[in-house]
Amino acid sequence: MKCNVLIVDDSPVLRGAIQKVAKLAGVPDDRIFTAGNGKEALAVLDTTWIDLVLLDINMPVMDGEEFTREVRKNPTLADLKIVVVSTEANDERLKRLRDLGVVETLRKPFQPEDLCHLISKLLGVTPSCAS
Amino acid sequence: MRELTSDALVRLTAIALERTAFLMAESADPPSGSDLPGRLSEPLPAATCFARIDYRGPERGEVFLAASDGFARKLAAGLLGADPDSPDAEGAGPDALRELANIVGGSLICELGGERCPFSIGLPAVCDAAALPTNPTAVATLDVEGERLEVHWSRLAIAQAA
Repeated sequence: MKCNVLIVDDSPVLRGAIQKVAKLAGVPDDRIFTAGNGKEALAVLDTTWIDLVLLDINMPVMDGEEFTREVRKNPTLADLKIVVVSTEANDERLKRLRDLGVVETLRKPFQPEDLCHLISKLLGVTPSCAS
Repeated sequence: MRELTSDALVRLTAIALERTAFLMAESADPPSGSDLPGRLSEPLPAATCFARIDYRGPERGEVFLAASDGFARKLAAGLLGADPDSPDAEGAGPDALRELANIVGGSLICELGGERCPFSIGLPAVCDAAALPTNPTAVATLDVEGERLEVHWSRLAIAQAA
């Protein structure tokens, strides 16, 4: 599979945990990129083609909502798939994110299998977590 | 707004631990309304690691976590799929507890606010013991595979109608 995934979360432990799930979903290690906030994620998008972003919302420096707004201003990133993986529960904020084209939201605490299946569905691959 | 009991804090936290880190947790508190001591035959290790998160909306509040070092390591190991004694898990305990505060805080505002949740959550942070609230609204102590995790919830203020 040649799909690049970007994990954006300010927690190094969560980035590590999500990275493990992405590998189970069939994404090779060298196709997984990470960023600690929205600003760092935009820098990754400047240099690397990304197919799927797994995005936390509440982060310092630049949060996930601002990141998504910046992404949508760029026509070359119009098709970028963004999945929110967050504790965010505010109904209005989640609606704003859906309006910005976020394709799915997965609320923490999530089952690793749910994220694994979501990644494989969006990238069109068969995961090793398939049951 | 809804009230949350210690039992609810145990339930929310146990779900978070089971789903994200494959850790089994149970209440270490005595049953509600009972004069009996908790069900523990041996005391849990002391809390040495602390994290907090606040929320705002129709009311403001905070969630504090206090955990033993062993719990923080087990949590990090569970999240990372690593051995608790591995170098990866050893250094990641505080960040793992910070993330658990984020997850428990998120679950708590859903419980308080219901399906159309009007609350927003802040950024979680590692803190020290001095930050623990002196008069929390509810407290739960969990036995997580022989390690201590305390959840302190403080309701701070109800927002005034305009």
